[in-house]
Amino acid sequence: MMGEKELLFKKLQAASFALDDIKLFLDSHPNDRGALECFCKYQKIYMELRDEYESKCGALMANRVDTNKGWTWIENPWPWELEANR
Amino acid sequence: MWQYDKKLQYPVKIERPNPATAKIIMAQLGGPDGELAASMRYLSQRYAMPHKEVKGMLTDIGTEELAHLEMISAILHQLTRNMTPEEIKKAGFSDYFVNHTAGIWPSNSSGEPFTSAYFQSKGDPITDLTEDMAAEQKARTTYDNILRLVDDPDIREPIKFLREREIVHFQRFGESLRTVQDHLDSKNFYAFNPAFDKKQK
Repeated sequence: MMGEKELLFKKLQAASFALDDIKLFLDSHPNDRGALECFCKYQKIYMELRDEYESKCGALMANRVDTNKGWTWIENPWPWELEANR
Repeated sequence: MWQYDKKLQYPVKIERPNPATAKIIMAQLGGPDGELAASMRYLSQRYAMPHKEVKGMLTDIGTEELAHLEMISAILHQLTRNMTPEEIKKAGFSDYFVNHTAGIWPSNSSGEPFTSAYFQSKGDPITDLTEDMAAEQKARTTYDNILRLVDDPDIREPIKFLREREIVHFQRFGESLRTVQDHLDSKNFYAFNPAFDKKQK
């Protein structure tokens, strides 16, 4: 059974990868309207998921740390550790 | 994973190309104490690091070194723009030019290719951090030597910035080594390897 945080993380990873992939297509097809619309759609999905994830699990980038909660940047697990990928 | 920021960490604006100086600064692209070796050293070492503070430090300094690699590449790119064959020959840049034209390729200042033999990832936190502190000082000395050879303020400014960062990184790695030691037996730091041996009860 997948927990709420795990599900959120999976969705975030998927939306983030969608942007990675469409980004490459747009680099070689900068005028493709369909791809632009698709990128825009995933930008919105990604930003919403990111904000929810960061409020629950901490910042994805050091510059986005919510300092009200202290320096959470260094908190375990780090992405290469098994615990971060379960 | 990484995301690219479309900006340099510190501006590089060199008005006068100078391939002879590019040859010297190549040391900090793909040389033994250069920015590529620095980045690969820290980003490789972090997987064996047991303490969260030091995992963060190696990640963040290793990432900053990638930005420094980009700054050195930008310096080399601007120093080698609009070269004529006569200027290339006069500057002693022919050996690089014949292989790479004005492309950026990581080698040391005498043209030897980059190799991971320039750094270690020993899987022992004390050993790795001691190497890291030495690496920052070696890079600082290299930048000092570059500053002894280069007069153009357009080149000196970003080089001075990079030199200063070596000193800051040395300080932070010193603190990181202290963090590791604080978790160990002060009577014998070498009783076991905290990245490999099971912690003694």
